[in-house]
Amino acid sequence: MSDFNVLNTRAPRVDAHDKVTGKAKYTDDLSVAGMLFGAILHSSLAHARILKIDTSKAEKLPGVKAVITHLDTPGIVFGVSPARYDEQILASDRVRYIGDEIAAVAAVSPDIARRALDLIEVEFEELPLILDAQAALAEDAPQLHDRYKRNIVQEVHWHFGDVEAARSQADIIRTDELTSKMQDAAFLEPQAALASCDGRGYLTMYSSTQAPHYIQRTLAMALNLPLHKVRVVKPAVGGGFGPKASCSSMELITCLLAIKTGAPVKTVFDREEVFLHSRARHQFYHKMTTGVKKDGSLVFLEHECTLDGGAYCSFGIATVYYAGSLLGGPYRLANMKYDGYRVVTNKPACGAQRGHGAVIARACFEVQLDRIAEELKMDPVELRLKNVREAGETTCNELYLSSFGMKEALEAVRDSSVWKSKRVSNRPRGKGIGAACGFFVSGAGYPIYQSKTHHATVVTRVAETGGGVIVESGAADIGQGSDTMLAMITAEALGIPLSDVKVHSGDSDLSVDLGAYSSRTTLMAGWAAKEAAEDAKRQILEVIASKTGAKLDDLDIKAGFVTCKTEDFNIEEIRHDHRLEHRGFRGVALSGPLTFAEASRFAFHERGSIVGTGSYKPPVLGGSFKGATVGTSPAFGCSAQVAEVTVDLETGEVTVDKITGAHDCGFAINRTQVEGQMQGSIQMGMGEALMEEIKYDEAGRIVNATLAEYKMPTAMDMPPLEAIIIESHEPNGPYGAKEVGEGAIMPTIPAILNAIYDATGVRINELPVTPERIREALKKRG
Amino acid sequence: MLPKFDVLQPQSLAEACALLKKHAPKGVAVLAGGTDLLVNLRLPVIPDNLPRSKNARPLPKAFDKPPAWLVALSRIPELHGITEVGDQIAIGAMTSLTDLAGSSLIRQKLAALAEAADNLGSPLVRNRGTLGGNICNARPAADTLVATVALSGRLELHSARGVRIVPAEEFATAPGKTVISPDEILARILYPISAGKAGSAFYKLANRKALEIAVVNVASALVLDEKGKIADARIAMGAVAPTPILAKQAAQSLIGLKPSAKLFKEAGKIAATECKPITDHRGSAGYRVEMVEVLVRRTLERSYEL
Repeated sequence: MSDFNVLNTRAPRVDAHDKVTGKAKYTDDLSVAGMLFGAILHSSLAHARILKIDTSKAEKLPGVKAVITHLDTPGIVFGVSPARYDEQILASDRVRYIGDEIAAVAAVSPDIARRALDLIEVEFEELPLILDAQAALAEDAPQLHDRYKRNIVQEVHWHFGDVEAARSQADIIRTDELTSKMQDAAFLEPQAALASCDGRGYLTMYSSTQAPHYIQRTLAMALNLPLHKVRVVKPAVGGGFGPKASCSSMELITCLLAIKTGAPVKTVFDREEVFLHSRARHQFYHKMTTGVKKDGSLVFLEHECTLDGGAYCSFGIATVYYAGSLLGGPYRLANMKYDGYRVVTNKPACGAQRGHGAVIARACFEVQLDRIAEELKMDPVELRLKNVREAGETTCNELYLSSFGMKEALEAVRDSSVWKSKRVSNRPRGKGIGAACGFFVSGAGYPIYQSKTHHATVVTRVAETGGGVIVESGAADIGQGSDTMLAMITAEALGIPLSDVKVHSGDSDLSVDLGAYSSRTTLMAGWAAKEAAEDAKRQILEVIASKTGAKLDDLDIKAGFVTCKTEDFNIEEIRHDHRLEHRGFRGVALSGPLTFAEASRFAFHERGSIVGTGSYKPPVLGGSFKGATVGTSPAFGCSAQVAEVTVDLETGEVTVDKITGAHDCGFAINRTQVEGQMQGSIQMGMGEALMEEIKYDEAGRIVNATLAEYKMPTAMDMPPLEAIIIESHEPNGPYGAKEVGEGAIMPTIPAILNAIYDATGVRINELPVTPERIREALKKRG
Repeated sequence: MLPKFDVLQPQSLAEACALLKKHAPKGVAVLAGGTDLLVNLRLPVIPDNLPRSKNARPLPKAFDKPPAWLVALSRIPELHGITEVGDQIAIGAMTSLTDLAGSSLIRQKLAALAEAADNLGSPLVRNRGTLGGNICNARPAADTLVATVALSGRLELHSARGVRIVPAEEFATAPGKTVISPDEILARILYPISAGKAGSAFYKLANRKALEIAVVNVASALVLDEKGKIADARIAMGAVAPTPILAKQAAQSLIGLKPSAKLFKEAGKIAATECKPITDHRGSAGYRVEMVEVLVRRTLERSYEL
């Protein structure tokens, strides 16, 4: 029996009813009187100098209220990492990918705005293109940005332990490669923004974003406005997965158009613009050399990685660091060398996407572990179990594992999938089973800009009416369910029913929250919510103690009632007052224990508004080497999965028959939501393994920029999923909770790749593993 | 974003033909389920007047100039429904793919067509999408057109000028192009039914299990004589030429012979020499040729089992 009233249950989401009935408002649902519609002119060329922009015809079109170009912007460069600001709101003299923003229009209807774009004339001088990472690094390659020599945005050279010395201790050394493709995050809701500016210069933008805080900062910086006069509000959001974590030109343009016209302006991306804007998964080229002893213990890893990140840096610095740092776990590995290069090319810019930077690195390494197991004639699960770390250990790159259920997760999927009998028995040809593990942060240890800021604050206001509380948080519920998490933690910490907690969130006016990225919200905002609720509870109980003479330590609130350990708890006067002011109300307590409604109303009488506050700031984390901050986290999640597949050997078609997954989330605040994140992660990983790929023509244009042509798994493709929750009780998380939203994607790709090998006997080193690539590999083997 | 257009809703085939005749000079399109048309009508995000690179692949374009009028066929009773009369099944062009896939008559006597309809798009697309729409859209991979070609379907085209019948294999002339005139409407598709033992099957090869455009799709149809020998055979292949095509030599190789695994395998090999696929973002020419061999064999085997 659980010690909790609210937590660890399957409580329905607080927004479930509004979402399933269509009442929830997304940005595009918002409409304001006098609203104009924004539209953006995107570059038709992947690399060109802009010689001339003529907007005169567009300006004359009736219904057009503003046409802006670079000349209408403050000319301040922006981006994600302050050290690599390299983006302009509108291109001044050069475009670097098909989709780069050149001009924008605000008009009285979307139709007129679109027709105005047709009237803008642009003269270009075409420049030589770079469409892949190898070409970008070539000696005589054109340079896309003056500041990025050899088109390298960031290099990483890490060396932990001593790889050279370790080489002689290894009995087996092997080198393997894996390359992937750029991906689209394919969230259901295209980006949209609605901005307005009042007469005093206060700017408000509603936006489909994951990170109101960073958007607020970027708007203030790039539009040269005081930070406190910029408010960013996130309505309901239909998914983000990373690309909505940074401020886009579209958001800045919409604000500029609102400032210029004095009217509210709404801009909504077409699906094709979602693809053009991208900021999704990079393209990775990994090469790994790993040494092991005969007994299977890992000795060293030497790792090289090149990332094709498209036209701008975006999150690229963090991405290239993550690609190296997160191989520090979940295994005991004393010696690790990493050389990473993040380059620019004339393709849409890549950024962060679920499992930021670490997904393909993990796939490459986990596939290599299977190949090593095969050479050692060891069971791949046994090889992993031999090497997994435990709680209390620190990785070679100084990541401290304060809780770590890796072994439990791996054993759980092994046993639940009946691994041993399936692996050894004589399976029919084309049937395969594979396993893999994963490792991920539970909240980045440092903000994107250098700062000692709190990462999350929560203000919990006790309703002055009595009976309920209102949680105010900047945290961004983008569909992952963080509002439900905040409500559940608040209800549990305060001792009241979930139905009496209301959450206001996703608004930069409410509190500071760095946003929904790096799997941080449950640990950080959840921590702050717990603190705020406990603060409010303490204040209420102080008033009750003072009035009744009870000792504060004897008082508690549970399931909506104030309890007292002693019997002489006299509540008559409080109850009398409460009844008097509620004549005519039904359901007012006449007898029984003191209700939270009575206690909280009484506390208001005595003290005025009762407001609890909470905040979370990580401790100082990580080593002192360059780049040591990326990969640090107050806690680490880990996971294991077993995939079972059937491969049609004649056509190469793959059917994933089942995936058994186990994830250590520390403690499940809401069991259904934890399983949902595991299922969503597996769906995304399966797509990346088998079908997702942005394809370009020779001019750098995406040829599959629609959800019809960009293939991702449908409901028909999804296998039965078994989600096993492992709870290792993380000391740094609220009630022991840590991440599940991203870590759960880590094992999916390699588990599927390992299963395909088991089914076919061929390894494919290029993602996605399409039927055609499987056939090619089978033919090559003969 | 969609361009501006007006929608006309005739109540009879004659009225529809009259409307088409009237508006054809100004630009008109026929609206069936709309699952292709409305997608094709969308304006490109990047305006056409901006310069494109010489290396850019041409943008797929359904219309040189967007039509000012759409003639919607949904309210015309004679375009709906499946009827079996004598030795033929007639299917109204506005019959939804869902109805087609769910019809026990079609499942029993035109299995390849039922399978093609059942594998097309998603439940939402199949509820709106129609047999006539899929055929007239005339994509090289059009699932129901491939099945219709294999099943010897004939297309009944109506206009104010009269009625004409076109064999399915002569209908498409290039990707998205057909012999249909701007003033004509595909009203019904007629399928002959053999009195003897007959079977057909369809196979769609794609990267996922729904919402797909085939990398290769194949439909085969067999008719056996009283002695169990193959009296008639047709094999249609999609996505391996600008239009769905017949593997005539492969089909011919079967005539008069007893069905066998070896025979079907050989037919697959012959069919592979009859297709002329290109390499595009869905698959390479080489893979498509290889798959034709496999899919022809498999559909023949399944046609025989039925």
